Amino acid sequence: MKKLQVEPDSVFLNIPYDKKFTKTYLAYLSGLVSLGLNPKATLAIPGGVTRLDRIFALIRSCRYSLHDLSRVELDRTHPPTPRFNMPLELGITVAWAKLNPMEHTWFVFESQERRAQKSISDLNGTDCNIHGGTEEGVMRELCNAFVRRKRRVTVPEMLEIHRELKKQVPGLMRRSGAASVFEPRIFDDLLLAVGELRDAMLFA
Amino acid sequence: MGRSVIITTPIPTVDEMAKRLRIGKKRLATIREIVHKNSAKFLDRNNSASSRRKVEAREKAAS
Repeated sequence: MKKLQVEPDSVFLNIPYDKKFTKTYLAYLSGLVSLGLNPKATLAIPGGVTRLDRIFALIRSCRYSLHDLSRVELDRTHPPTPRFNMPLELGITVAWAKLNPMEHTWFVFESQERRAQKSISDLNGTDCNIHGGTEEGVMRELCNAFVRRKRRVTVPEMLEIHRELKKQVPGLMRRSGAASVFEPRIFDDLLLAVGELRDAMLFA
Repeated sequence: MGRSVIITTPIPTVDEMAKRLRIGKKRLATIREIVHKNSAKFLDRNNSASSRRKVEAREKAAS
């Protein structure tokens, strides 16, 4: 297997891309960029036979990964089907980290205490970060997972940045022509908008 | 896996982020324009707070 350059501040974001998850998704972007990290998502990866290979390559190139299992549930469209993408990508990541413990660290985020251990009992013994489905909870758990000694942003500061990011969304969507925040064309724009707000807070 | 990790990598500025994401200056300028239009109060407050802290630090160093 070709050795990939691991980006030391990159975080593979394994989350559902649906409308109900929008505020949590934006909270992850705000929080991670505020902490000086570089989120990576599978949004830009097309479907097809090479998709899994490209997801695996993305995981390998990231030093950290964050797996949100709060919406592993049955969807409404017939036939009702559980969402297995997140657990599948978590499984791939766990195997990769087992083989390369110095190169990858993974975190499981959930909204409810002990639910992940119930749905995936093999996770017993794993400390999940419980965000309670709130934006504040996401920020708090990101700060618990990723600790900075210098230039540490606080949860209230991250929430303030996040509130400001939400104001940018309609303008950024208009500019890019995106119909949803989950479209690949707007992903980088959202990261840069958070970066601009964070710089004002930290570096101005 | 572990519950927390210490991050030691420097926080990249937005210009450094744009370079890494291969975003051109024009696109970055447009994004900045949108942010400055929608968050003028936030930016003013933080810029002035930061300037105030710098002035205070300079005065403290001089005394």
